[in-house]
Amino acid sequence: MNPVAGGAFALATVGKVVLFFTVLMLAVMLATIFERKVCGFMQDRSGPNRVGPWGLLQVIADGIKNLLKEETMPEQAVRPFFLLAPVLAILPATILFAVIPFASPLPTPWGLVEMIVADVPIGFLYVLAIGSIGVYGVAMGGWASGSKYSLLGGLRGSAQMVSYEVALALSLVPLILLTGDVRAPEIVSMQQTFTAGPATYATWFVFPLLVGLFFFFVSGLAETNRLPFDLPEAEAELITGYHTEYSAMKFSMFMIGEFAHVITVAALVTVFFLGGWDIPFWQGDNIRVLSDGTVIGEPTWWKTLLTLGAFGLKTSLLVLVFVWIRWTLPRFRYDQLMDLGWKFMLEAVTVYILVIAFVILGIEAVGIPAGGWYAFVLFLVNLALAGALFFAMDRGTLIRGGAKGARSAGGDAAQGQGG
Amino acid sequence: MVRVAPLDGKAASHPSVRALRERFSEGARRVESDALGYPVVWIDPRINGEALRFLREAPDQAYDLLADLMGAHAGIGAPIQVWYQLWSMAHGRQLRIACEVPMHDLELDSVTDLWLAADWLEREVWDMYGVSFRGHPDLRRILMPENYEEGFPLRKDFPLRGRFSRSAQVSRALSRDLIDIYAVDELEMAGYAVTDDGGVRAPPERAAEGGAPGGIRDVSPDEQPEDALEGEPILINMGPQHPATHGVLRLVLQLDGERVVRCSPHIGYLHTGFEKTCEFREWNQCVPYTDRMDYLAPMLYNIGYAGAVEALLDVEITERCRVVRVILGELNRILGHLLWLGTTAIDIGAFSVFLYTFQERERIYNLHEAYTGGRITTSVTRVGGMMADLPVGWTAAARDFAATFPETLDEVERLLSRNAIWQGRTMDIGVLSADRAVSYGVTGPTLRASGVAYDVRKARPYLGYEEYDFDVPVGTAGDVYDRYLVRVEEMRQSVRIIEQALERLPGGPINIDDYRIVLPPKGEAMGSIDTMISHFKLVMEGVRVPAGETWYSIESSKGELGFGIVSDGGTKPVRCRFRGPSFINIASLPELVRGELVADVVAINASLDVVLGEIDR
Amino acid sequence: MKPLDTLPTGAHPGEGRLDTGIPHNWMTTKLDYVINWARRNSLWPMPFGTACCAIEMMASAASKYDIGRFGMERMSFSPRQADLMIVAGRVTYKLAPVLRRVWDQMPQPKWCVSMGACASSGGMFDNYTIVQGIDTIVPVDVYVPGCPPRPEGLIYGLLMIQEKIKGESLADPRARDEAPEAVGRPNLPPETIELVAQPFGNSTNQNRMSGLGPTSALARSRDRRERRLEHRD
Repeated sequence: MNPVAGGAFALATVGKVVLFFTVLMLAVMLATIFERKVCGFMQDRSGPNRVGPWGLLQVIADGIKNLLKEETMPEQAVRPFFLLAPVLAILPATILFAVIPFASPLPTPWGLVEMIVADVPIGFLYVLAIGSIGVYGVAMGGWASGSKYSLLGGLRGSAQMVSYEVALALSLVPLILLTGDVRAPEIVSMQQTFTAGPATYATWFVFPLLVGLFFFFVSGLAETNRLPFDLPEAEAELITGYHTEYSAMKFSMFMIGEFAHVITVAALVTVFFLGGWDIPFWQGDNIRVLSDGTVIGEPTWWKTLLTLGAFGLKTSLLVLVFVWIRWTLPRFRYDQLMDLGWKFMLEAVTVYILVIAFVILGIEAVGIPAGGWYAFVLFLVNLALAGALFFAMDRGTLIRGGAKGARSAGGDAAQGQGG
Repeated sequence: MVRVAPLDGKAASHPSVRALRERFSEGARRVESDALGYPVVWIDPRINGEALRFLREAPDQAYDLLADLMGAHAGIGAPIQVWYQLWSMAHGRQLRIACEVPMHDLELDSVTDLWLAADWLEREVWDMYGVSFRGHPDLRRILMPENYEEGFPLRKDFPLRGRFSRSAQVSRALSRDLIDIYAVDELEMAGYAVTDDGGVRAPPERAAEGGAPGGIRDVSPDEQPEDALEGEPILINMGPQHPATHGVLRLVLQLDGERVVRCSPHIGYLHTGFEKTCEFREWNQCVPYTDRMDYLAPMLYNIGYAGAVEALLDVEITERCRVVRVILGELNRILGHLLWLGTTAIDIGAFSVFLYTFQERERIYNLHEAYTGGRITTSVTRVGGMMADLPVGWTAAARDFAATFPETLDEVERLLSRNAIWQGRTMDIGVLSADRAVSYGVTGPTLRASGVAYDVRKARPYLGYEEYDFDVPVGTAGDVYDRYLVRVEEMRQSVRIIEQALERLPGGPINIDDYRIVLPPKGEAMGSIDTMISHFKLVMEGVRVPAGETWYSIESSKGELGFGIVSDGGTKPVRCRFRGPSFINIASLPELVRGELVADVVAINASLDVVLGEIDR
Repeated sequence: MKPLDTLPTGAHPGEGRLDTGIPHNWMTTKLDYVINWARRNSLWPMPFGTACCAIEMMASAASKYDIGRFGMERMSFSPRQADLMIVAGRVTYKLAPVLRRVWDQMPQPKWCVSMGACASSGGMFDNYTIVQGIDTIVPVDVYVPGCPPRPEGLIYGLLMIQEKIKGESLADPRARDEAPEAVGRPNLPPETIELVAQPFGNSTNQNRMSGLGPTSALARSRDRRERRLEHRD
């Protein structure tokens, strides 16, 4: 069966866009209620439970209420930018999803439909390019509000997102080194086991690129402004940061944008490191569409559904990790955040790229073909690197409080004085 | 006129009294004794600066802690009294210097150069009594609004409900000119020129608009730095309605980027007039007011107040009452520290810790409720005893709490103490050196975190604290992290004290058997005519406290909690002064946050553990 | 003294009227139902906490009482995103303009809960500094008695707000009237403020001493104002 082409392709794409946007919005709604329930669970509370079954309709109530609430326009706000900012916050997060494959290809009477909205050749470079637009929403919202709290939030947000953009992009370089491709479907295939076609690594990239996953995830946390990197909206200091002055639906759009961003980052981690829609320990779902149109494996509709479920499950687990981190950790301080970004992450990622490059060079010189053993060697290297990394990041060595240095190194401060 | 307990030989032989008499023979004529026994030296108001300088600087005096500086007014026409309550860390001596300032010449020398604590305290005396202090750098109202026009509230000629009608008060409050709300120093920061005589001139570009300081551009062009690349500082207003100010504290911050150049705290948004209102209440009716001052650890205030009045009455409470008060006091120390821990964690971003500590607080609330019926507003003490004896089963519940509470504390410590972000956010932040801390009059865990082992429970034991075995944790660096460690350790020590107290809790009556002070049991009141008369008089008039004055202090969860009380022998206090430790501790904030980041302001403010009810009173 | 039933009902002219005079039809009632359902189930509180009551408000949000069950756990510290102002604690005259401003910054529809005796009436502080009931400053929808009210009490008050929202209608143009010119003015007429602030209960032994001479504070403050005016000219 050949991939769909021509008019059927156009129709299928439109269908996918519509379906996809709906699913994403639904997922955002579920993510908000999921976050509230999970945080309730972590804090020994019940969370929303009055509206609908298990409080599931809570989000709908919030949505309708915000839709009908008075929109405020602060006197000192710069009107066009004030209105544009929420749009810019929500837009990149949603269109990022276009390049994410979320299930195995679906066979239809008109041909094989790949479950990705746009399989662009530039792949995740598109992700990086669009992702960096998100900063405009934050910066613009903060500046245009005409409030100093918003301004500080916006400034923090733009600095933070620009800084971590670098680490985010660099943390994907080892992935290119390994796969030689930037297309997301290709990256998913590389993590599956195939007997025919180009060689693959037969394992999820979480193993050969463990440290890369860590960098990508941390940068992703920072990109989405989630704790411990939620400085632009640090509640204790800046009320709600750049969206302090926004009310009603405009505020909701910021929130939707944030959650869509979280889901996007979780989906990207899934695709890049957790095998995408691949179901582990089962070879039946190994379906690959080569660039010349040949299809390896047997696509069926139920496999599409199953893999969709696998993708959803992996993504939700990652969202759970996001929520879990948020309700556990304290928040960084602004300068610590910048230090971490520029003085540590950037260098560490660069070193990591070099190490991986040399190891790959070495492996290929030794002559191990791409596959399980190739990945295993890389995994061992990554384990060693991870050990070194966590040793370096241990308390006291990376994040420092003030510069006054009143505290001598080590030693517990509080000591009993004889009673 | 207020009479004072006669001077005994002990007070006269106090080394400071002798030295003062030798040095200022005429100026320090009158020496009396406080109800607690330490000497009170009445000095001539004209030499107050000189005498206090001597006491602060002479090496054999070295009164380095200005515990309190308060005013008192005995009645219309009487002179205003100003008390300086001193404590010497080195010699462990207590002394009170007092002066009577005549109404026609309300002026004293400022002692702000001797003790930093005097800054706010003198402002408060000015605000409440209109005594001005020569040489004070910034003498203006502190608790009342800057443009308060009704007078000096604590003078006896000031009516309890103010001079204006209620509607006038409301409409004046709402129609205040924004410039009146801003203080002089903020206007200065915002580029307004403040002339020597107190006038205010708007910056040129704003004068045309007639606007108030509020826009993003705040510094007038002529004040801008030469180098345009340095940019201009911005002024942000944090509070009074802000999630991280723990109430209605208002901080005006001048920022260079995110770094604080200048911080000016504004208080008084919760000034409730406790001290004035208590002058219109009977001695026991004041108890409910005390728990509304520190609503984080209410019983400590109840206990301290009752102790102060009992010192004036010179009665000895029963042993059972003493132990019960120790248990309740330590429970409330835990209660206060737990709220501190939770809210500080929120401020640094760890929200869940707040809910974990609140679960433990709920358990203490249950104990409160079982005993007093109230969760926060306990009003548990009465002069001469408690409101009632402990209910059946209460001690078992308290024992259970003491046994299980440390587990939660361990959990919270696991979340925070070795957390890299927590350490990074708290270590080396807001460092307060021991000298500065003492000079600021800072007390409690904040002082101990700076390495000074001053705890009233050890320095001047009350309620038999000398019989308990407990440690006073002391920090070394004096930063936010040390304050955190010290408070966590204090909670553990409090558990130790509670366990010991529950162990030794004796039987017997909880109240003294003097029916002129405590209500007799109903059966007895109905049975004998004497008791019935006492009952009637207590209910209709209240306790009569002999004329005298005292300044009594206990260790509350925030620091040294002082009660300066004057009685004229009636059923109501003439003066009821509460020395809230938070009021004095928060005065050190501008120094602590200078040069730090905005996020640190929040952490440092939280680490001082302030409660606005006590700051503003 | 005027009898209490002559008191005006509040700032909203339409408030307290059951019959709005507008015919109801199926469309408006169903729409009202949906909108009111959403509004009452998504009340984001703006915690205006000042004193003891604020601690009980925190307790209401904590694990044991958890107002998050009603969708109210999202405490909105920015008034722009809040629907419900909970004034918890005593409000002083110094704080009054702040309270008014925060209320004015909240977008419609908005409701106000006065939590505790002090916020509702001044409570036990009938003195020179405490506002005798915040309804002299902002319109109040529900008063929660108690000193402080228990969390159950606050939750009951919040449920009453939900009940109140159930009865509202979009079709009533007077339901959410707001007078922009009233910003910075008391919420009640002066005579009403005097009336509600009359001494009562234990405070009857206090009286207003008037006609006393000016103090130097008066002089100082007045001087400053006059001088400032000069500079402005």
